[in-house]
Amino acid sequence: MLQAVIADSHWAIILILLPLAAAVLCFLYARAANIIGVMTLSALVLSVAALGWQIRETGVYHHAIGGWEAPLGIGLYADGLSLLMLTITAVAGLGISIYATSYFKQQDAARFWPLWLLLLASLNALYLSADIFNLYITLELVGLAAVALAALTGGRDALAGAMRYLLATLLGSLAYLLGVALLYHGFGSVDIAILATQAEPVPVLWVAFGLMGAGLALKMALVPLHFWLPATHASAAAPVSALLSALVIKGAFYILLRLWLEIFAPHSGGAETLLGLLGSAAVIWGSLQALRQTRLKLLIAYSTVAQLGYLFIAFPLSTMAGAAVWSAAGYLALSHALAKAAMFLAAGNLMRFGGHDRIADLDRVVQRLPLTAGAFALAGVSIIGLPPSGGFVGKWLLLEAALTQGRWELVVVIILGSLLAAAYVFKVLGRAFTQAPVCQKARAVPARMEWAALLLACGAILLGFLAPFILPLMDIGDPFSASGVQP
Amino acid sequence: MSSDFSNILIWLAVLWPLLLALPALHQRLPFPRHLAVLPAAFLVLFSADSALTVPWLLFGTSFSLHGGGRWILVAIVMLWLLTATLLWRAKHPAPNDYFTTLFLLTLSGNVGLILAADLVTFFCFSTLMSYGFYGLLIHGGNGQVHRAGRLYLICLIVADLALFEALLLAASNTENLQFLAVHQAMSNVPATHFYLGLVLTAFMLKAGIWPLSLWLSTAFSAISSSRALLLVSIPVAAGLLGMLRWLPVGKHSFDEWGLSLQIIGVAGMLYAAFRFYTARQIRLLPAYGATVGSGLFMVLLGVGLTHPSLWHDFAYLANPYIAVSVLFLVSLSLFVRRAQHDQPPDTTFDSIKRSIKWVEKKIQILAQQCSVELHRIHRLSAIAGRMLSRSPDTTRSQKLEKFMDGWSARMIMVVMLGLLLTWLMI
Amino acid sequence: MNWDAWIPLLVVASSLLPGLVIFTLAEERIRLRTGLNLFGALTKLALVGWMFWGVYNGHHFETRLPLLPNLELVLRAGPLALLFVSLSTVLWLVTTIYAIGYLEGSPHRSRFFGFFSLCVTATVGVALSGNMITFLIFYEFLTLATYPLLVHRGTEEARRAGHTYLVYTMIGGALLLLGTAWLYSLTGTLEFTPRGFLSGLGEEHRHALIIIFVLMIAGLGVKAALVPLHGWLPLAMVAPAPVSALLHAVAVVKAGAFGIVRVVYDVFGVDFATGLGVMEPLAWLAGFTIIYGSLRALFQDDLKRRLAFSTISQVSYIVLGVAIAGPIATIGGVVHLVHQGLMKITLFFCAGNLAETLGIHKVSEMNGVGRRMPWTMAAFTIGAFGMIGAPPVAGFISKWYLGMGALEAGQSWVLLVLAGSSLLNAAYFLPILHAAWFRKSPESWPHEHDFGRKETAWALLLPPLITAALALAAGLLATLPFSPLEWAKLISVREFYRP
Repeated sequence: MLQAVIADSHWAIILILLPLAAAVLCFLYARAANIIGVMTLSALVLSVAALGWQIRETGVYHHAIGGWEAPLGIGLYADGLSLLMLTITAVAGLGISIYATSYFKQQDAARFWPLWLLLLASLNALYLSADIFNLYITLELVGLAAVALAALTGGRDALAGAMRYLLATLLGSLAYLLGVALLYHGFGSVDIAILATQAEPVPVLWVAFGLMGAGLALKMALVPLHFWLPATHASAAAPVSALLSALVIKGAFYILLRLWLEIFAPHSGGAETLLGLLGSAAVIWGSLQALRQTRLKLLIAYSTVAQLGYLFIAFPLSTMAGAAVWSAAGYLALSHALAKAAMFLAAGNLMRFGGHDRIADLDRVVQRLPLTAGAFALAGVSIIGLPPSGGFVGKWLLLEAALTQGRWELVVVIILGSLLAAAYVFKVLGRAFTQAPVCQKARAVPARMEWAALLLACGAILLGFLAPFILPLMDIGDPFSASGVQP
Repeated sequence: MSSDFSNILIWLAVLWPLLLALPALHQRLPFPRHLAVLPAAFLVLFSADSALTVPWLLFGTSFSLHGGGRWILVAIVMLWLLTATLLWRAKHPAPNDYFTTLFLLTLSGNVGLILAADLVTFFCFSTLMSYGFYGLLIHGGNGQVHRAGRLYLICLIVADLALFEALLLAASNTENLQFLAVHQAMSNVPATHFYLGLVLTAFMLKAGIWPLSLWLSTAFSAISSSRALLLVSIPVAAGLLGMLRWLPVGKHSFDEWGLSLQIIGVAGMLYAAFRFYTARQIRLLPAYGATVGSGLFMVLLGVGLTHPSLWHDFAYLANPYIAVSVLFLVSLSLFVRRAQHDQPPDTTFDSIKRSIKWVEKKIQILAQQCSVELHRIHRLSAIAGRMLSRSPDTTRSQKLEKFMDGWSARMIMVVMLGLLLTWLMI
Repeated sequence: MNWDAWIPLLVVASSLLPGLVIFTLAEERIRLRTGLNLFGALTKLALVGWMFWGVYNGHHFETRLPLLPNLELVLRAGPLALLFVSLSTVLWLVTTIYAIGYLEGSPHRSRFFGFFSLCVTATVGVALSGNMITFLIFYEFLTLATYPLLVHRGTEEARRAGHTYLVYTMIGGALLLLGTAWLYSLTGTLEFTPRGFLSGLGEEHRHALIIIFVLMIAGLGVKAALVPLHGWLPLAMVAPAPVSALLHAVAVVKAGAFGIVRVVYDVFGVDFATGLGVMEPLAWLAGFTIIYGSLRALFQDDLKRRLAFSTISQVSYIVLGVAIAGPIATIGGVVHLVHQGLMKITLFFCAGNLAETLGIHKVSEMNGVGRRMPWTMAAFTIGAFGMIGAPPVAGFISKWYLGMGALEAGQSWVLLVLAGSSLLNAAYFLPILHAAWFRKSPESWPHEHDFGRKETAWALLLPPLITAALALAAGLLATLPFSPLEWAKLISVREFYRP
């Protein structure tokens, strides 16, 4: 009975509509926003689980809204990759939401929840879209909601950061839209599946890919287009920073990955090399920048730049060993989301605690905020890629692929990136043990905020043991097979 | 006497002093130092020749008490009893003082190495004894004594290293590390010469045999307290015994080694005579006595290495020789101690003057003591003579003649004569 | 349900779970914390004892959990694994008692004991790993669990030491990871196999394999403190004494040495490695480290620093034994894993006692300390003589087998190294003993605590006495069954040189 219900329900639609409805509710009943938000997120986690069960049992989920099939209607599509991204969003989102219930004061909460739930709805929609135009719309929605969130705290830094972000995200969307238009012009469809069959290696395809890739890269802050990210992520409120770093950026990556896998990979013409190069540059440059920072949130923001680089390293490797490499990238994205969210939340705790985020003045946090320090440390372990953690699994699979293919330059980048990550993570942790020269008065941090950060970090560590269960789920519907071996 | 009884005695002789070395124990017992020597004394007196093997201890530990070893044990037991009496008659050490502990550790090591029947056991107990002896040597001493102690320690470490390597060489050539088996195994393998060299160096260092006698003479010129003086004979005896036990004497002819040993022995004796003649310090007498005694032993050993067949004839003398040497050194030390008893010398000049006075009084006794050496030579020749007359075997008598005609024997005579002359001249 | 399959996991969990619980305890719950610690340690001891008996009788203990595609988390109790597990279990128990006494009244004990338990968990995991990936996981876990212990005092000096430690170990870990992943890409398996799993690889991989060997040894050599990768160890002595004891005797340094044993015997296989021509350089490196460490130790006035350099030297005995490549030398190397642990932990306990009771940190302050603390210094003396290699302490047995092995393999230069090391060991330990026993005590000690009539607290005094007695017993009773030596022989026969 229950199984039948789960199998037959349209979980995908619930995943989009539920947060939308909740956003409206939060807007209407601002006082109950916290409860509504957390309950929605919990429901979303369950729905994602149900969707996962569904597609594991019955295969890829495909649904045309209103019965209109492509190329006319709006199609929803869910395979292993979508499931992965939805899971990331729901799980990390839940953690961040719990954190947010304690973090925001009443009036901030009233503005935060509707925006965040809207963002959530658009992200879910993004992961479930089956055509590139819907992808554009959702991407735009995600971007706008994210900008609004970034500006939420209202400080000067936050507004400046949000403006930069707005500029970047609009520019990125514009470029992407141009690419969509070109593709539509060239091949007469926006449906991914149809485009996949019709795409040919003609200039229009390349130009479209160039535009879309550049736009998405801008949204993902791929070096050298990362100028906006550190300022925005560092100046936003802690839960918002966590959302931006952990979730929003992954949306753009998902689109890029989908387009690449379905449409562009067979006709790439060496673009993967360029992406790999930029990814490597991001890993090194981002890590070095993170190492130079004296402020904790900036350090974490640069770490995001660096860790995203790893996802791009997968592109050049995928040409020879498709599925395994993409599994690695997916796993990295998953563990990065949890770990980075935990890191930003921990940083938020530290800011709440000491009123600053200067690394040199952390002043015995290990004793005074042991849970937060633990959360940062565990998240750091996963970011570095030390075993046992989700980061390790991802990097191991990536390393294995690089070694098997003899891509030594990438091997060096992967290892070096880990070492640099270790350097900046432990730079923070080392200071957490010592006494600062100036004694500061400290404010209490709610236990819920500490535990939210710690649980997310523990999740990132736990991922190190869950690979045998998660990797098969990712492969449902063979999302990575399209790029297979080049003909 | 049942072998169980002997075995228990062997155990006790070694372990009892070790046990007593605990301060908590010996501080509560009357005459702990004498008590500690008792099992060894009983062993010597009442036990038959016996052997004890303890397979589970270390690489298999074995002890044995046989005719030769008994001689030495007798001497050592007497020495230790005497020391125990003399050292604690005058003054009692402070309760928080480890002299007794060191004393008992050294005693255990000394008895153990005499009883040891294999290389590893010997090595173990010799280590125990040596480090304990180091403590005795420098205990409560002044800077010069400490310098002597440091010298001893350096010699000891180097010697132990050499012994360890020798041990490894032996162990890589034979499974069984009993002395006899090692003699068999090490007499004719490629590593033999290396083994001989290591063993000789090691024990010459440990026993302070010239030219490696650095620590011995320094210790003697430094020590003012009579108690450590008495104990000097212990490492010397142990070193000589070690050579006797470790070297494959009488198994094979090692001409070069034998010759070198004879040269070293004779040169050592000459050196001792010369030094004593120039230094004229009465308190150095035991040191040079030790050098002469060990020099003589080296000659004996050298002959044994050169002529294995000859060795069989007088091997039984080697152990008694060491025993007698020990007693001889002890009695020498006792006399010196008596001489310096009232007032320790302030300057060399004073010391010489007092010594001369003392020597004048005691010259006769001293001469007697010195003549022990001569007597021993005499006894050797007497034995030789007896053998000559008893044995119709001409080759053997020829050998003996060869030995007695040998240059080293004659040199010994000369040295002894020289020594005697020195005494008289003073 | 087959219980044998879960015991290795339980052994790991028996310190992990108490450790995690301890983290949550309030600072003043001393009894509960102590109880948990001891409960964990004793449970582990019982489980290890059970496995010990089982393995001796040929049982098979193995836990397998899926970890990655085609790779499993394998915990397997072979003879070699058990040797290391037993060492760490026994010494963990002793060190826990010591740490309880040592840290009495000092802050942050819950954190300390939590990480302490994690540290042992990692060590036991390293010991029990049945393949390279499991080893790697626990090896890195060990790095992480040790770091908070190292910087426990929270001083600037501690932070710097911790920083240096991380720089070394992280780079080492990265190299090891690289080597492991490369190896995996060549072979498709990482399972530890007696006499190696590489013999199937052809000649064309020769250069790659040499580089992999170098990478792995470099990665492990950091923890094993092989020169020139040793720089972190002398700095790490800022940690509290129980940590130093654990670091030097059981956990970090040993994990590196143990890893080298594993890589040489169970990954490459000793014959294969010899064929690659990598064993001789390794032996030279170990020999050089032995001499270098001793030489540096000679000039240290800080007692713990001197002991740290001594560790650098002594741990390379293990590597040397492995690198000489013969059954007898291997026995010497493997057994030194245990012997060095027993002796060095004794020395560090004693150093801690001196610091805690009298405030003595320097060798030059140790004059006459033997009169004040006779039992502590007696234990120290046994440990020091063991390090020198004097019979009948355990170090003699190790040196004996190393020397015999070198003779057997025809590498007599090793004898020179051994002799030189013993000489240097004597040169830096005997002056300490001399000063402690024979020099006059000063008027007052630097910072004396009063323990009444006892020389120091029981919890501080008993552990060094126990370990010193064990070190002595390991030497004296070396030929009894279940002695470290006999077990090492068993390992050599069963795992390394099976016909």
